[in-house]
Amino acid sequence: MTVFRRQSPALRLWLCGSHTEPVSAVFASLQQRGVALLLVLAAGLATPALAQTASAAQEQSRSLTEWLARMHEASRQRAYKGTLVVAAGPHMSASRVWHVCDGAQQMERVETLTGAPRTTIRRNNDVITFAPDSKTAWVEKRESLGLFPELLRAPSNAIPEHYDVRELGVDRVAGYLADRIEVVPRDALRFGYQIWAEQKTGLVVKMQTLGGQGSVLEQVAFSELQLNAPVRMEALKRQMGDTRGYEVHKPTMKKTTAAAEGWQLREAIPGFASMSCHTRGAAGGAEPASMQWVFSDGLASVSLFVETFDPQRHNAEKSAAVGATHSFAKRVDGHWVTALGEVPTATLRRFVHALERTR
Amino acid sequence: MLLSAMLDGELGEAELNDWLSCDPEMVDAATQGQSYQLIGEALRRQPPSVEAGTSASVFLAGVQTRLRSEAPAATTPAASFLPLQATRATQVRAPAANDAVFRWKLVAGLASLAGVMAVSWSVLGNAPAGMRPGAGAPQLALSQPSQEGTASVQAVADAAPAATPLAVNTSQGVLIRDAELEALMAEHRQHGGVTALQMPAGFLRNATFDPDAR
Repeated sequence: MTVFRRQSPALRLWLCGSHTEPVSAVFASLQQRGVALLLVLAAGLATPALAQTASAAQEQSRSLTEWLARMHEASRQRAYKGTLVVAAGPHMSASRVWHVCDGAQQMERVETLTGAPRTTIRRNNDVITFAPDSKTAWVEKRESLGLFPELLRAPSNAIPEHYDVRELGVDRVAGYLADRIEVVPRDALRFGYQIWAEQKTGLVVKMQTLGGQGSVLEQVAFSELQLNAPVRMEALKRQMGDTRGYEVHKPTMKKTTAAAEGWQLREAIPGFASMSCHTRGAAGGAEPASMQWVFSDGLASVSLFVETFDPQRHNAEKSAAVGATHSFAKRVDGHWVTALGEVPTATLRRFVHALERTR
Repeated sequence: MLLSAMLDGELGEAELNDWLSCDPEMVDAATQGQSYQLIGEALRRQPPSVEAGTSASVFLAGVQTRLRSEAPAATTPAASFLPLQATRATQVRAPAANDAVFRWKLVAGLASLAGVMAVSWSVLGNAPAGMRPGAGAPQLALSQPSQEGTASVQAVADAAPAATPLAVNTSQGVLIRDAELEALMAEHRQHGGVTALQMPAGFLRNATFDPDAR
């Protein structure tokens, strides 16, 4: 019975000495769980009614922040390999995944099984993508990979202000029992998520992005998974460094700020904070630089792309969506702005309408 | 049709492997039988909703009713932004109507076929580089703008009739044909994915799902 395994949140907080609940609430909670425990002991077996009681006692055993931290830790502590399937709109993609971590470094290899052959290897924030067909490799540093767990640290952790969590029981995914939780948005500016975390480790084995009325916009899941697989970091390192025969490209990106580029938001969009901003231009300067301003509420992210208005290409406002990724484009102060992110179109509209030129 | 057979659970493992271009050396033979368990599971599961267990026509009617009740976000006027709903988190959400998403979308797609105009499109050679209006763009027959969730790819011209076609209906579903937008989506996936879910799932998702094959 898992009722023996898990601490109640009140007990855990009490033991940690960081509880914020009233003492009476803590004892009430302990008393409630104690009753459930005694009932189970007295009966000696789990009748349906008792199972229900135990289940109720487990409700909200973790906060949203605790769930997210557990999922993150699981990927940091485990070696695994498996087959990942992504379904987004009419697109279905699959890949083989190898993941290994030695505590200090994480390495991953993702090899696509659908579409053009492509192999992506990551060591912490460093990512290289090989395209064997064109013998091209892209080398880049993805700062967004290093932002966690800062996103969960107070006071910058605004996730619980905008999302709630519900625990929905246990399902079987890729052969493993997994806790199913739903991350419920507190307003209409963002989507919800349903996440399956492997029961023993917390590893995310399936995730759905939920739109209005709970419709599934996109889902990612392991169809097959081997935990604690013998993945060798040395082999991955060797593959990552072996670019022989490949033409290696590096993105020409320049860090900047929106203010320096002459842009600001007239009003903040609730929950979304500015995370980064950079410009990107063609190497030879053939085209003017475009700006990408990135926002996040901790779970969903939005990119604002600003480029020079071109009447040949940019004529009418337009919006589109692929899976959970929506876009909305509009002319703003002589520029063409495209907002893109895993949020409803209405949220993107608010971003674009709030954006203004400062000079 | 291969996709249809897969959706119906009639596709054999060997055919699935062919379709997914598995490299037999890279896939553990012992686990091949499980490789597409997710797909089968998703396809076989009936949505645990009220509609489940009823006839297909009743289910379809339920889906259509639900779709009609959804406000299309893409057409929401700027002046009527949805207000914050502080109580939303406390609402008990019913299981996703399209939890078995492939089947659901197939049903939704078939339903839309009845109402959507006949679609024809011809693609000029080298389409990805030639999608710009006025630059020899393929002539695309637009589908009717559909509600969010009806078809996962949608395009709506907000201020004027669609001068820049974005979405086309094909027998395989609705597809985006906008190379510039696809490029921006790739940039967003690579540099914009700032989320606490990035490490456990987001990176893998993005490295796997990359239709423009960057």
